[in-house]
Amino acid sequence: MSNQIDDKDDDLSINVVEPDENEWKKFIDEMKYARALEYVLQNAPVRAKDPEKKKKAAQMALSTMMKIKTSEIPQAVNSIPVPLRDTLMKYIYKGFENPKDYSSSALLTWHEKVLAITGLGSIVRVLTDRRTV
Amino acid sequence: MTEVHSFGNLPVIAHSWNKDRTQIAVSLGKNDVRIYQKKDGKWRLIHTLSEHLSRVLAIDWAPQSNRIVSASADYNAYVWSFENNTWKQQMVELQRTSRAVCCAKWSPDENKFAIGSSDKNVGICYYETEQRFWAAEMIKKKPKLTVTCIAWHPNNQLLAAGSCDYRVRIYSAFVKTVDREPQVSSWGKITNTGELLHEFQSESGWIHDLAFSLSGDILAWVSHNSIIFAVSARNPAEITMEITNYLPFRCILFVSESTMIVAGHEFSPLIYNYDERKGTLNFVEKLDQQDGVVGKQAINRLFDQASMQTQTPEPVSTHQSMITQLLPYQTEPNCLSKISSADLFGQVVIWNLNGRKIRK
Amino acid sequence: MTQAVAARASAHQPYLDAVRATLQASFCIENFESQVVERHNKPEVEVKTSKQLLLNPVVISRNQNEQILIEGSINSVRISVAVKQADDLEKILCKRLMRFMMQRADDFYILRRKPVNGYDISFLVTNFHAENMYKHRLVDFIIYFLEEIDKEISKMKLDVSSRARMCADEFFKKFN
Repeated sequence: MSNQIDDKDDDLSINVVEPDENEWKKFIDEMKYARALEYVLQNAPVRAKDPEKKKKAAQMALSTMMKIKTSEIPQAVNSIPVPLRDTLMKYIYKGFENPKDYSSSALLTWHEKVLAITGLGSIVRVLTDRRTV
Repeated sequence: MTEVHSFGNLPVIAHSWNKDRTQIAVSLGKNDVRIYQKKDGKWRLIHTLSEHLSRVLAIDWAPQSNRIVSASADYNAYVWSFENNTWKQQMVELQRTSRAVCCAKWSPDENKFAIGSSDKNVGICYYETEQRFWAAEMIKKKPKLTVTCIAWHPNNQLLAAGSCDYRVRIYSAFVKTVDREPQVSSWGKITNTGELLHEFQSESGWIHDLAFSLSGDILAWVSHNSIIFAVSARNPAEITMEITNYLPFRCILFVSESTMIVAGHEFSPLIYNYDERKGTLNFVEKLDQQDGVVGKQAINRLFDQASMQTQTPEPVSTHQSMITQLLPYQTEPNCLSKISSADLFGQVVIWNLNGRKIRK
Repeated sequence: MTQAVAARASAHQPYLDAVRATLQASFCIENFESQVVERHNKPEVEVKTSKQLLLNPVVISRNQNEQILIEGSINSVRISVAVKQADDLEKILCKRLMRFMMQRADDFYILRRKPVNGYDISFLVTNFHAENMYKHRLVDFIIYFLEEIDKEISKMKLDVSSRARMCADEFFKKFN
């Protein structure tokens, strides 16, 4: 955010980050799933223009989520810093778009648990935020 | 204690009080402005100002000069003055505006007012004494989408405007014919009319409302992504945001130098504190503290819709729909002691702020 | 506002809860006058005059066949439902039932006359609905619809097959 005056309507192309697959794998291999999830969320390519990049990151995030046990979800969500919880919610909705690849019932559980912690505000931001995942 | 006043079932799109709070002007989503007077504890309709052809979107009643400005979707604004027991209108010459006028507000000195419109115009309107009409000076560096809200700085020469293009802008609203000398302001040097002094941009979320603090050194606004923003004139590069867990807020009002009240799709107004030094916005408390289930709703729960197994819970709050507007009702030195809020179901509620945790 | 009270545990409760929460978040709509056409006030989700006035559309799926699409905007929300259709009979029944309802869209206030492409039925909620209806009731109506529609189609399916059985019975009686 800045108070500079610029007439560009779209400044989304700057600052593109993306999660590194090897880094992510390292966390997965060590069974640190919550940490792996946080890592992907931290580096979510929300500003990327390339749909492939987004798809790859979404796959990493969602497959990590599938690995976390239902009973451990609230703990995992609580360990994720507040600003990243909105990104987590975005990935849940992303997962709903592909019911073939990601189990909807698991996602619904995630949705319920995240919502209990973040309130409706996070859904509002999934709807409004132009930085999509 | 809170007072609840009802004006039927129609939405209260805008409301405004007269100086001694005995009369209220409301827009109930129709083409007219209705003025009610309180007599023997009841509101009686005493005047209907009908000149607009579409829904009236904004009303502002200037307390000292006793004039009302009304703005409507028919792309007109009128200034009404009270003469010989009737309200007489005078049209405002809004050249270049051919869409709805969404907001209108008198300046603190009441010698001019500002409007914001759907075709992205921000106008400063003042009375042209020689030619005897209300003229408008349009701002050139205008927002890119509908201007949803405007707020005057207490110094009468600065104007903040929020827009659907996710940005808040501070303009110089200095008009030579009425203001004579530009003042020194904490937000920068005021020179010509319409000069853009600051622009605060965010990534998403329509700006719904904005407000200056009582001294004018802090500007805060709310957007559709349930975030509250605040920025201080002492450091305009740093914007404080509070990401909330609530539904989006529609309106914001400063009740003291650092305490603000927000309200909107969350049916209870909320109190927030801005700590400039730490750069944080902190939740203080809910203004609506109805605990548990009150009578009416309890009955609803018992008898209503027993057939449905799952239900969205009834809101247990004074307001049962979106809050459309917050206004000061009673002022004390350095803070407000009462505020009023309006909703979509015809209610205007007056809240007493005494005993609330408000930092003076 | 708080989230739904889970009054009963059923198989599609998590789905309905997720839909309910998303609807609550997307029903935050307000009056908005057209920026393009003078003195017009049109649902932006339908006219789509500016991308910046629209919200990100979201999908919630219970499985591959049952989905709900929620498209929001500043003054209106469009909700489209894909109903479960396991076989051809359910497909036909669903089509007939939806057609029946959509022809009577005026009586349902928020029903759209045509479904959005790829879905069976669509609703359109505007700020004018929000101005004279309780928001939680609007949400409930759609949840209720989702709850009932499956039951309705299953029941109709049973009715059709029992009728078919009776017809067959009558027909075979001739050969006895």
